[in-house]
Amino acid sequence: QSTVRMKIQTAVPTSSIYFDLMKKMGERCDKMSGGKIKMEMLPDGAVVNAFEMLDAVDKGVVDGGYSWTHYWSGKNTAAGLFSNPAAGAGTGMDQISHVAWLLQGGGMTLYKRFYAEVLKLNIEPLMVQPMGPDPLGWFKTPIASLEDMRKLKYRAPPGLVGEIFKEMGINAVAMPGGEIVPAAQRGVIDAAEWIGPADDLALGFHTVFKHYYLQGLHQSTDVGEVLINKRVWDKLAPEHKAIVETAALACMTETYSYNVQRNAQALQKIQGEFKVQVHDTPKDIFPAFIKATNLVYDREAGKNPFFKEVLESQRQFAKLVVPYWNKIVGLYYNLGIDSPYK
Amino acid sequence: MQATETGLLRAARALDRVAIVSGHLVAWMIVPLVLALSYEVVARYWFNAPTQWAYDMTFMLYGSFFMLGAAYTLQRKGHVRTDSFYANWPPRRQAAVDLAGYLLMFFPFVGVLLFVGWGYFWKAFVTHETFVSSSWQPITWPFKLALPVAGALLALQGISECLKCLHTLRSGAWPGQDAPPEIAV
Amino acid sequence: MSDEVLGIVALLVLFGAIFIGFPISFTLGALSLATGYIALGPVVFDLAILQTFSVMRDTVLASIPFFLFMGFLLEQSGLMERLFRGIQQLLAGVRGSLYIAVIVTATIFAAATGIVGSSVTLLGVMAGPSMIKSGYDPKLSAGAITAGGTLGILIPPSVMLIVMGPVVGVPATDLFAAAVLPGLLLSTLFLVWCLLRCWLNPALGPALPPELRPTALGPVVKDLVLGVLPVIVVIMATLGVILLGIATPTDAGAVGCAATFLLTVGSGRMRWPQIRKSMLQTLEVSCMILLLVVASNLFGAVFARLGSPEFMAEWLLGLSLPPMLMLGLILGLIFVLGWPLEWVPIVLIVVPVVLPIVQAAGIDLLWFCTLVAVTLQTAWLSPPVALSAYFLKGVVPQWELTQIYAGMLQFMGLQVLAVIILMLFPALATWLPRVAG
Ligand code: NA
Ligand code: NA
Repeated sequence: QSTVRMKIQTAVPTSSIYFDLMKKMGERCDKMSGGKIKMEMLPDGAVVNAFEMLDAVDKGVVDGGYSWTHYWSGKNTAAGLFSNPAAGAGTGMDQISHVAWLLQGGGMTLYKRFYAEVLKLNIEPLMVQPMGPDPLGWFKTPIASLEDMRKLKYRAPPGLVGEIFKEMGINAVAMPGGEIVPAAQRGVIDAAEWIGPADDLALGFHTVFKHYYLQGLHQSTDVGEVLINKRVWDKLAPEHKAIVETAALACMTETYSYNVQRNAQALQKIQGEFKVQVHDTPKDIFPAFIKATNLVYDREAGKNPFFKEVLESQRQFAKLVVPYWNKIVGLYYNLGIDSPYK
Repeated sequence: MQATETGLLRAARALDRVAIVSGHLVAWMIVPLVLALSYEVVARYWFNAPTQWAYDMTFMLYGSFFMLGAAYTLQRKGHVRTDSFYANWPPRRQAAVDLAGYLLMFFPFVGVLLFVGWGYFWKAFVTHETFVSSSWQPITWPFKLALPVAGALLALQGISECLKCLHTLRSGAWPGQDAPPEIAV
Repeated sequence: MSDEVLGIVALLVLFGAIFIGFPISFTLGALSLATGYIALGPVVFDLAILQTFSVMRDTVLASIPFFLFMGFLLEQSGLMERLFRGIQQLLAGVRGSLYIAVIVTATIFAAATGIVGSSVTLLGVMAGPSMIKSGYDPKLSAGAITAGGTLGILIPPSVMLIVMGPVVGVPATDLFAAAVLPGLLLSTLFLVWCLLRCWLNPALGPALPPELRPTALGPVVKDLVLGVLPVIVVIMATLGVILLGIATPTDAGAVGCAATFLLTVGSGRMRWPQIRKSMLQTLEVSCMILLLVVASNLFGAVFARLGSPEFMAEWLLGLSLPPMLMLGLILGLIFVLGWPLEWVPIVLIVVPVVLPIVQAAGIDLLWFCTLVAVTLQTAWLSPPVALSAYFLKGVVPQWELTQIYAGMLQFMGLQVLAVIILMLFPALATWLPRVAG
């Protein structure tokens, strides 16, 4: 078996913690395969624009691409349910429950079917980085209510989430991560969300926005994916495919640990060093968001049979796990004590 | 001999018409571009009511604008050249170099726009692909159609330019109306 | 031949091919396809389409048609010529007064936009015809306009610094503060160079002959104020909203077009033939510039996909040299890469590769970034792959490309001088962020 080399372009800059995690995943594959799998990670824009990545991987312009399924909502609206079911698809599934749906609840089967049969692409998809929940984001001026947010132009992730915001009367635009701060600096947008404190800080959000709202429902779960061109994937021996799949699972665990520690570090810096005001999100945004989500999702399910199938699978799974997981997990967020470090 | 030459030129002129008419039509696109974005600026900065569509509308119009005008620009000899040597050559040599350039460089490049671009348009058309860059979510195929159409217009104009080169190779002089290879700014 | 070496060979072929005299965008496009086809196979065709879509979707580049349309409307209405004639009459006794006007306008414009294309085109449209009519030296004129136009990418707000920030992990605002003094240094060097050369050789920027000078300043000032003030108001309003961060260059360009249109038509200076001519010129020059951007992005993408930039950077790192020498070599590499590439692939691909070495050597990152930024400025002035030259040629076709190249090279020399000054005096970059921060 000869060495398989892959150039994988990501949708994040080199300073992103998720870029770092991808490099580590590549190094793991390299070590486990005894040097037979070499992955080279490229930053956003190195070969193509992030929004052109799906076509680029399908055609083999790059061997692999790192992105989020909801970026492909323009090809089929069901895309968003795999990486970014807003407010847990309106069911209350949190990030761990969503990963459980993927790995145990039939999600991965639907996910692979989505690329192979629905979009009919030459792509082997892998889920790698559960990075949610994402904060509502950054604002130039503070907001006190949903009404205030309606006056702004807000960078939201692409896909149905945009339609949910539209339903709420909020003006959303989507643009690749690297364009957000420049756009805000030049006045294209007044508010923006990206990923979380660590990556937002790395992109320099604190230089243009001075108000940060931590709680958001639009990406209560948010999973990054690696798409590999099928021809490149089929060059891998069965044991090497298993290595890549295992490295993807390992990357999930490492992502959880990064999320907690790196984001906490970044938040300290954002508040302390850069004097950004961190606020609680105005309460009237949440019920409006859930209402809009269910409306948009039900409407979409009526138009798109595959969307309906995935949504029903998630709702079914939520019926199983929410009564257990949500029931107990609330207590464990604080372990029953009023923590002195709150 | 004279008959073929005028035949060549007549065919070239007919093809030129296509580019000229397309250019005069495409040039109008600057009007909706200016109006759409001016409207957005007023709505956004004065009334705090930004539109859903201006962001997408801007790039869709602007992207189509410059691609669709490429053939007109070619007809006007507006695509810039490094003319340090070229300008001092006799017309026959200029025509020979141009003809080789069109056959070896221009048509392969334009062919990619036309044929590969068509594939992207067709896929977007049959799958009803939409842009996700705003909540407006317009369909993408009209925008993607600009690529193969630009390729087709460029190819037609390229044929016209080749015919003019052939005429020049035979007669030793560029056809009258194409003499000044300058942009009339 | 390895892919990396193929990329470098393609680069050398490009230098030759561009001088054949065939339109550059098609030469560059075809060469990228050929190189890409050898190394990557048919996927290069898809890469070409995806790159084209990226340029078509770039809302920053969308400002170019607007600034062109604005410029052509003003030009067709005869107002710009009047403005420059007015300024020249006002400074009639001063040699090279139009150079002063160009560099000062360019510096103000640079503080208003973060991009290069529209500055060069607008300056070209405004100043080019007046410089020709006043008998100015084409080389020095073209150099002043192209070099002045590139200040936009260094003097904040700068798109390039915004992109560089996250790559090196330095806040963009610090980079902005660091770039202010070097930007003004460059602007001063440009000005001094123009005036020095005019002082040594008055033919380069002749003062108006005494018999053409106005006998009294009163009428000149009145003409300036009444005829041209409205235009200046429009331009300043357009630039002002960008400068104040109220609107993007694209938004402001659109509004500027609308305002200019109303103003020129309203003042009765424009009839349908002039309007149609402005529209057609806008189309023609936009197509020329943006198709070239498509082709040069494609070349950059192929070159990057082949791994040539990393290959060159890693070879450099293998030499293990003392820090200052290494820094000089890194900047030298970036300078050389700036010839075929635009700043985007360099910032995104080369800078991360050399970054560990820079950090290991204990070199101040802010200083390093500023040095890189000033060095990358030269990429806009390095013929033959220097978009500024074609932006200018598009609007001032009377100037030969060889003259434009010769003019740019002088100013590229000044930029190299600025890099050296900045290497000797790091405080030029680091002082302001320290004070401001
Ligand atoms: Na996000
Ligand atoms: Na260059």
